[in-house]
Order: sequence, then structure tokens, then C-alpha cells
Amino acid sequence: MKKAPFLTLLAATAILLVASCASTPVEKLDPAGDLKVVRTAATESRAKALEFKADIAVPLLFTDADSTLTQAKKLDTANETETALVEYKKATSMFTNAFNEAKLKKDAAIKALETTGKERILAEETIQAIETEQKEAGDE
Amino acid sequence: MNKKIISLMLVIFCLSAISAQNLQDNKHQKAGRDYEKQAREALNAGNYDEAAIKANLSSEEYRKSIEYAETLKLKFRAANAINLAQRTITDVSNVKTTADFYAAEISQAKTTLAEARKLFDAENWLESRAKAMESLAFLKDIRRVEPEPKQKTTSVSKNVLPRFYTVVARPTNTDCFWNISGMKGVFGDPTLWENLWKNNKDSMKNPDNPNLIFPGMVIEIPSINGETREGNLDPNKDYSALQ
Repeated sequence: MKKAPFLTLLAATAILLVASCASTPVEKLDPAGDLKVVRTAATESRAKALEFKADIAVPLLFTDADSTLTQAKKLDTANETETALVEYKKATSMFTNAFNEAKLKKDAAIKALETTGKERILAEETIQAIETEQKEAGDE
Repeated sequence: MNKKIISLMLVIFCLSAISAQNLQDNKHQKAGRDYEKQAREALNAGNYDEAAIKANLSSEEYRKSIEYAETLKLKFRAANAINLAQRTITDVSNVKTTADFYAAEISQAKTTLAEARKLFDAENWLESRAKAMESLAFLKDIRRVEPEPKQKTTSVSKNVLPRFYTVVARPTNTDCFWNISGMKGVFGDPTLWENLWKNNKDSMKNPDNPNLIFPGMVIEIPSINGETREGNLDPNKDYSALQ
């Protein structure tokens, strides 16, 4: 007599579980579309880094990023989509990092040159004043 | 070095009236400009680290250039003060009656000026200038003492040659030791210019450079053959030739 309610409960639970699994929507995968997006992003991030001459300013960072992109392209060509996706995203991140580092360095260099320009003007003005004074003294 | 070669070089240099040291081309300013140029080239090439380094080196050189120029300014001021003191001593000594009347002041001025020169040689520019100004201070109250009216002679004997010559600015054939030495009242021979230079080194801004004379400078002409010398050279006078 006691077994019957338990078994009923068990069966109901099982039915419930099966039903919930059946109703879970299956995610639609579009690997080709995702791949195109990340591929474009990687290419654009490379171009942006090159605009700031990151290949010269931070050569190691840029080279590493480039190697990752090359790897991504190989996987892409070999239709290893999932892995290619990961590599493209990684390359994008690395190029962005290279760009940021190059920008930091460029900004620092520009700032240093601005200071130099001011020092040069100050030196020229100081010297000019001294030369004028000396010339006037010589004319006396 | 051959005397004639030195004389020829002096003739060439005499084409410019006044020569001033070009401070804008001092070595630090030049180095600063070079580094700055390298920094800009590195920036354009993408070598940002190198650009920053070169820019900092450039800034350092420009700061050194300012220090160098400031030091030279002090030197110039000291030299100018010494020159002014010397000219003033020469001017007041030029009139015998004034010189005799103020002998003590002139003597003190000369002693103090000598101290100023020593400090200059030791590169104590500030103290040197101060001493030169102190020398001038001894002379500030000196007034010309008019000589007794001349009764015996109204004109200087033709045989008496001038003792002083004041440098003037000329559009051509500019005053320099060579030309001045060639003047009839002086030596009548430009190759004897070194006598003028050696005798006036104390009153020159740069005693080692005989080219640096300028309008207004009073040059004392030494007696080289025992001739009597008095007063200033009169360009309108016809002097006898140096024997």
C-alpha cells in the first residue's frame, strides 16, 4: 500500500523532467556569421594599430598579435571554426593592446617634444637679449 | 708665425667693423637643435621611445645653453665695466692738469682696476665687475682742471706726435690696428700694429683678439723710437713722419 504513492510521485517527477527538457529551446548556432564578424574585427584592429605605427613602436606586441592572426586564418581556412573564432578574438585583443601601448608612447614623445620646443624658445630669447645687450655696450 | 701672414690676416679681418660672438651657435644650442631634429624624425618613423629620449636630451642641451649664455653675460658685463673704467682713467689722465690735481683718486682707481682684472682672470665675473665699478667710483667727482693759458707755445711742435687715438666708425677702410698703425701721426707703418695691440690689451674686451676694437675706444700710442707723444691725434693735422 505505501509503495503506490511513492511510485506515483517518482513517475510524475520523471515525466516532469522529460517535459522540461523537451521544451528547452535549442540555441541556433551561426558560426559562419560570427566568424565573419570576428575576422573583420581582427583585421580592423590590426589596421588601427598600424596607423599608430605599433609595428615599430611596440614590435614584440605587434608581432605576437600578428602571429595569432595568422594562426586564426589558418584555422579559418581549415574550417576549424570554433578554434578560429577564439584565435581571431584573441588577435583583436592583442592588436588593441598594441595600439594602446603605441598611443601611450606616442603621446609621451609628443609631450617631450613640446617641452623641448618651449626650452628652445626660452634659450633663443635669453641669448638674443644677451647679444643685444653686448652690442649696445659695444656701440657706446 | 710669419709677421707678414699675421698682418695679411689682420687686413682681411679688418673688413668687418665690429665682431660679436654668435651665441645662438654655441655648442649646447647646436646640440639641442640636432637632438630635437632627431626626435622629430624618430616620432615620424614610429620610434616613440627614441623620440622621447632625444627630446629629453635636447631639452637638457637647451638648458645648458642658457647657463652658458648667462655665464658669458656676466663675463661681458665685467669686461665692459673694466673697459669703461680704463677709458675713464685714460680720459682723465689725458689732461695733465687734471691728472696732477686728482693724482690720488686716479691712483686708487688704477689699483682697484688692477684688482678687477685679477678677478676677471680668475673668472670671478660678478666680483670683477663690482671692482671695476668701484674703480669708476673714485673718478666720479673728477672735474676737468683747465690748464694754464699757453703763452709760450700756441701750437704743438710739429715734432710732437699724438699719444692717443679715438677709434671711429668708417664706411670703408675701417679702423683696425693695421690701418691705425699706418696713419701718419701714429707710426706711418701698418706692420708696426702689434705695438698698438700690446700697449692696449688691458683696455680690450678680448685682449687675445686684436680685431675686437670698436668706435669710441681710446687707443694709447706708445713711444717706440723715443719720440715725444702728447694729446689726441688730430685728423686735420699734418704730422711729421716717425723718425
